[in-house]
Amino acid sequence: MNMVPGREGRCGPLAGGTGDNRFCHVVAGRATPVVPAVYDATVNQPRRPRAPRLRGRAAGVVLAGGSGTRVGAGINKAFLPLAGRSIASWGLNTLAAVEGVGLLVFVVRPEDLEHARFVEVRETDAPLEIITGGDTRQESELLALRHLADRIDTGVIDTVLIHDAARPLVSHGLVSAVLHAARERGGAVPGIPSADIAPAGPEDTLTADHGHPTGELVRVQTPQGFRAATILDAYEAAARDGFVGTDTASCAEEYTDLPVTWVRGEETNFKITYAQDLLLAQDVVSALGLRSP
Amino acid sequence: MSVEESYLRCTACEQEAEHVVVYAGRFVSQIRCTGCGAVTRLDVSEDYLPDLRQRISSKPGRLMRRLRRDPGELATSLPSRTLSKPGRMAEEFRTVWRGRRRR
Repeated sequence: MNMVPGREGRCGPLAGGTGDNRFCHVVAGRATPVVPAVYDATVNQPRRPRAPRLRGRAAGVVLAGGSGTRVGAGINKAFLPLAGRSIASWGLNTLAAVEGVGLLVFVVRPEDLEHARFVEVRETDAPLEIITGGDTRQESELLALRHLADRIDTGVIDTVLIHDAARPLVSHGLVSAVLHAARERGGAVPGIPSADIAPAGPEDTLTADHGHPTGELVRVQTPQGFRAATILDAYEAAARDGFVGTDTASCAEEYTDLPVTWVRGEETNFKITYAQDLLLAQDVVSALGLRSP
Repeated sequence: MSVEESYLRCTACEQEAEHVVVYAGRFVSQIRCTGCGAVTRLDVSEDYLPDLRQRISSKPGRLMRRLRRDPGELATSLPSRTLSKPGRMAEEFRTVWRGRRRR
């Protein structure tokens, strides 16, 4: 166990057994920087390459396990190039850059492990913990949460952000907003109000009786953020019951009392589903000046 | 030029099918649905050269980054990649040229 010297009450022991990691408690949504004394104490030690350092107590989980899962020679769409690097790497890098996100778990299919390692070495700056997922999104989420379970139980991780790898253009600001709201309220998702949704009736007609007032409907995106211990318990309970939800929020709603709040999502945070979405994403990258160096 | 295949939904036939995605440099220049045969072509010729300039100028930095991250991988892949680069570039130019719209 590493003891991190520093200001009293700010930094503490690192549990979870990840050798070189250090962490500091998060105060008011910001990770307190490690004080210079930490570096002074280790200045004579040999430098280890790329030692992972926990900058925050949130974990980012990026799911590429279920996206594009089909039989065939093609690659998972999460690994298709977008403006010079894979679709998955865009979201991973954005999550890694957010203050408070201390580690990243990348969930992939077993056959995509080589691609995932390529992404880690060539396309991301942050270290990734690469694990293989399950057959469904929910299974993959459960496996990711189990992977983090020790660190969740010991309090090293307090919040998880679960993100679809197929949403490459999520912004730094949106991730920060979801993380902040999840910490404040327990659960948070990005959503876009959908005033243009109408219920379909029989034989291509629209029903006059709008069961749901359109003002109350939002299109839900990712990343979805939740209090880590609560969502882990919820997923374990769902697994015992055989419950399969559509996303993280649906499982949270079914198995927790967490109020799931929503923050305004972004139209550019769309999911690559249609082939032409690639072209749209390419245009957005150019328009926003996000092109890779 | 590189060609990738992946399962995506087709805007023409609305089916999930394998799509062949052709790249010219960092740009998608063509997408073909193997299910219905629908092809989308893009003229990337205007954007290609500025992007190529940027790729060339950032190449030393990217190589240094690879060297720092995984020198063994760079040492093993660089010779063959260097030898094949002229051919790959020629194919890339051909792809951009073929995708040009007639003006």
